[in-house]
Amino acid sequence: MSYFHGETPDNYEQKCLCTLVLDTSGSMSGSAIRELNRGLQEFYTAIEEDLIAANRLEVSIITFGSEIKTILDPSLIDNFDMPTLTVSGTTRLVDAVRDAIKKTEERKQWYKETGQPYYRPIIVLITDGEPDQDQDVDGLSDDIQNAVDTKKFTFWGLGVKGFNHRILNHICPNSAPVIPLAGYKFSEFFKWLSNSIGIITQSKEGDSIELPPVSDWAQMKF
Amino acid sequence: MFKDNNSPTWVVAYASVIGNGHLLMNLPCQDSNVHKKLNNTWGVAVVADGAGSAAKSDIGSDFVSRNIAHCLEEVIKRNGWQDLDHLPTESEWRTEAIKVMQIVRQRLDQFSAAKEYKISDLACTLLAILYTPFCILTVHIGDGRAAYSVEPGKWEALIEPFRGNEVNQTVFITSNIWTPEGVDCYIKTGFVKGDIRAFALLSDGCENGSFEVNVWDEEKQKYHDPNRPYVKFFEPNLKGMLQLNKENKTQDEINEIWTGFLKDGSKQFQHETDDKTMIFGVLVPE
Repeated sequence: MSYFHGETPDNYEQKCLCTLVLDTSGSMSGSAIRELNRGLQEFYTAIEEDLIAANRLEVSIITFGSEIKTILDPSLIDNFDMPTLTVSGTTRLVDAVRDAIKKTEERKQWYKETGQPYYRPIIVLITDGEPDQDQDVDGLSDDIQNAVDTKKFTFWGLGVKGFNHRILNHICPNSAPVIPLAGYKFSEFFKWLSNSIGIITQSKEGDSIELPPVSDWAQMKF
Repeated sequence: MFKDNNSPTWVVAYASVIGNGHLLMNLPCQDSNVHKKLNNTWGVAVVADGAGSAAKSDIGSDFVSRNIAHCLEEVIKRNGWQDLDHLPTESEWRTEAIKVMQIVRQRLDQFSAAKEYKISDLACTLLAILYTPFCILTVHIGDGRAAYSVEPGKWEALIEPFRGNEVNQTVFITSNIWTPEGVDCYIKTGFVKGDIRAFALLSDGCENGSFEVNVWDEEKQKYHDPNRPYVKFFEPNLKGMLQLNKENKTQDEINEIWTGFLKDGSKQFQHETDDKTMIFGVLVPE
């Protein structure tokens, strides 16, 4: 017999923003984009099944080829269907990451203005290439390092087969060097990402967070 | 022994349940609670919430909650408050409550030295009340929530939790707060009079399931914390408590049922990552 039937109040959950900056240039055609799309769908399902993460995680997606496209503004998992990405064009990587940084700051500002507590936002860059020649890699690298040092956001870079290790590592902050993806193991990466977000969104201020190991999907030797 | 007035009696449920996040990270339950019935109408209830970042905060919260309960009982005895069925003034209560906090902090210092623990590893918040049918006296350091009711359908907050600027930041009994200014700022006492029919004390792991703590303010166009006990949570559960009493459940049986409720009695409780503690007292009508 159940004695307690009290209802639950409708409290707003604190938010965690994760912006995916995804390379959809021509070089990602074939297996790469197919596996990336599959990984995104599995990421969506994993978050959907995690009640806490589903109520706290806002996903944003920016793609880059010759054009920078905001495919998804920050949204809770219940409020969007994961899009299927297509490829075309060159690699305006720096412009896309800058766009993500700008939108992250705007979202943080909105959280502050509307009194919503939030976790440190996460930006994830996934690319198989290197930025177009006219892109200011050095400037972006400095900006990311400064932002990570001042705890404005967390930045992870994922290199897909064929990526320029030197340049992508230069873009990534010292504390989180580029992670080379083994094969096209996007599914495993997104499983890791959803697990990590699950841990982050369950943490409290002062908790030391230990994220899952990356060995299942990262290629650590060259 | 305290005198028993043979007046209405309280039915009280108390439990601490480990949160999912702590299970995931292989941490112990860092919450503790103590309830002491002094007679049918007077009692002491304490909730302590160990800091997530402190290595031995489960030990700290257990030590602090037991010692606070013991010291408060001593204060009541020494002052004869309960025998005379009269209450201290608000100022007398604050003086005594602060003394209790200081004594417990000193004992905690001695305990940490003897065990060779760092004092900061024992960090915990605490929330204690002395309850009677006609008043509730409170003292707390840090966060947590507490509520009381004097008439059906009406619940009020008993305390204002201390929150820092960042998410989940608060102050602990082990914090550097023992200056006159710190005591004024961080040791909060309260005094509520009325025909008390129920009360609740809870750690912050229970607040999303029982209080309105983050809701949209249409006028100000922003989210805020109204610190409002959720009537639709407390009133049905109050009836459940009376039913348990009617069925002559033992204290162990009541606590077992209460533990189950805090564990997975609602979706919020089921998925809560933090440890959950709630002490819920209901005065049985004569």
